[in-house]
Amino acid sequence: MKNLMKNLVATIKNERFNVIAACLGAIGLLGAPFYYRNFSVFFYIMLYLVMTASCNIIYGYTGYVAFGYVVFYGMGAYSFALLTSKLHVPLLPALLSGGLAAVALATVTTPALRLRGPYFALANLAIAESMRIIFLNIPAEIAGGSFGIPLLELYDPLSSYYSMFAFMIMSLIVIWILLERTKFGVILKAIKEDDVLAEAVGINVSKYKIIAWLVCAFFPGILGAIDAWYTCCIDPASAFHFMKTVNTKVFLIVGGAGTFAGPILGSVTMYIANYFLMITFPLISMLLFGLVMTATILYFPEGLIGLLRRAKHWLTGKS
Amino acid sequence: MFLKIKNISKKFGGLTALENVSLAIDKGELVGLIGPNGSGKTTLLNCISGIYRVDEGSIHYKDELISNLKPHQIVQKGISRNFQVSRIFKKLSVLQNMLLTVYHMKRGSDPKTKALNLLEFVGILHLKDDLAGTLSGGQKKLLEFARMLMADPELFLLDEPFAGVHPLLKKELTDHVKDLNKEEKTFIIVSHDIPTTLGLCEKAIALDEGKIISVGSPEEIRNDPKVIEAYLGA
Repeated sequence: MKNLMKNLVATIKNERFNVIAACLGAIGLLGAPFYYRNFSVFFYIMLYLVMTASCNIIYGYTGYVAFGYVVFYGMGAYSFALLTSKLHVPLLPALLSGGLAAVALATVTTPALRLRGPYFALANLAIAESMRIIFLNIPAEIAGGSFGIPLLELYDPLSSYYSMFAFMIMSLIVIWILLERTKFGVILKAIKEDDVLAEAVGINVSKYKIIAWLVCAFFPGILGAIDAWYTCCIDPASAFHFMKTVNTKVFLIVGGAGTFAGPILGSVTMYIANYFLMITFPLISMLLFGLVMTATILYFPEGLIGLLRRAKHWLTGKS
Repeated sequence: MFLKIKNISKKFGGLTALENVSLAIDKGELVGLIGPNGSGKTTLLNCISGIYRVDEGSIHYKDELISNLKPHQIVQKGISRNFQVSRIFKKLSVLQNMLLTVYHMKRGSDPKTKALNLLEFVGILHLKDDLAGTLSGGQKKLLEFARMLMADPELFLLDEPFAGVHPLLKKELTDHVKDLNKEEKTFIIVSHDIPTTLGLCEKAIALDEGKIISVGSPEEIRNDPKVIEAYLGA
């Protein structure tokens, strides 16, 4: 049994295995619309995968708990919807505007980075709620009020699905290079561990925090825009829904924050688990979801990645 | 003047940590800063390194006002410090700890080679790939010291560099300080280890209750009644 586990862990750690697994996953996602009728599941796995990986920049690497992270997604969704429905802007620039709108909001809210811990989390949540209420109260002829903006003329689930696929691949490559192959990731880890020391060794902590904040805002902005295109409808309640932030955080924590693979592992496993829980136990699915979250925080604070590391240490006998 | 501190004060609520402190240090000096617990030694280092903003007064380094700068800007001016209790990035490797210091600087062409040479200089090159959190207390002190050297500072602020250090390591550290001082590097050393500090330094400053009570040679400081009173009580 121990040998079997040892081989399993060694296989997972093998770089060639990871590349093959990623390629198989990509092929599976590419073909999903043709072999699985409800391919929305795969669309949302990809959405949460990028959402979690980008949230990891500010939470896992820099240590800020953004309780209102959904605000960037909502800004992207509304930017896309307003530009396509009111100004008839073509799809590609409208999608890009989602990212830019999110970055613009992140720029305005950078002073919140002076806060730490629960204060930042609450300030961020307040920003998200404020944006929801603002969009709810903008005159209906502009932003659709509580009914939102229908985008039925854009209906094209296949194109939007493959746009999400392309954006996911691009995002993961960019985030991987940024966090694992440049000094940026190391500096963020240092800031998370001890920002006073980071400043004392010569790092401009404020500058790097702001860069991390702006970068982590861009990705959900684009995701919101693609999702608005995919669902062809956007309204304040769904665009700024708190559960999107909760899911992102849960997937990130369960996968392993502060690592590149954690968000991927967490979002894929937890989204699928959540999906089957909702189908199998619709009444208690949220309760079970909460239990998994609590158990992870209590017993595996480093998530699935930490669990794999522990298994490796146990099998190789190293502490 | 290399470092000129003029009438600086620092208060924390009702507590005055530093009151009208003025001192001047020339390039290449090795200065010991002594005083009983709570006398303001570490606060003074925190003010020089920009961790604390001074409430009043000014600090000039090479005739440039630095008391309004942020810590990272002060490091870039050529002032490096360590901490009373060793502070390292435990979750980063020893080499990453070293390289962090130069990531933002444009000096030096090959930071990795420099980092490796410095780790060899302090004798912990074999640990370069280990997580810094796994180092022993003494090794952490050496890493901190090597990390300070990465920035090529001209002024070193050493806070309790000999605290909790094995005698052999203490000798090693003092030898490194002497070697660097021969290269015209300037040191301000805060320590409770009076014999080592006064044995190493050519000038000493005694602080008590946030005020400078004596400045002079180690011999003068040792025999100053005010210093004796500060340590032993009235």
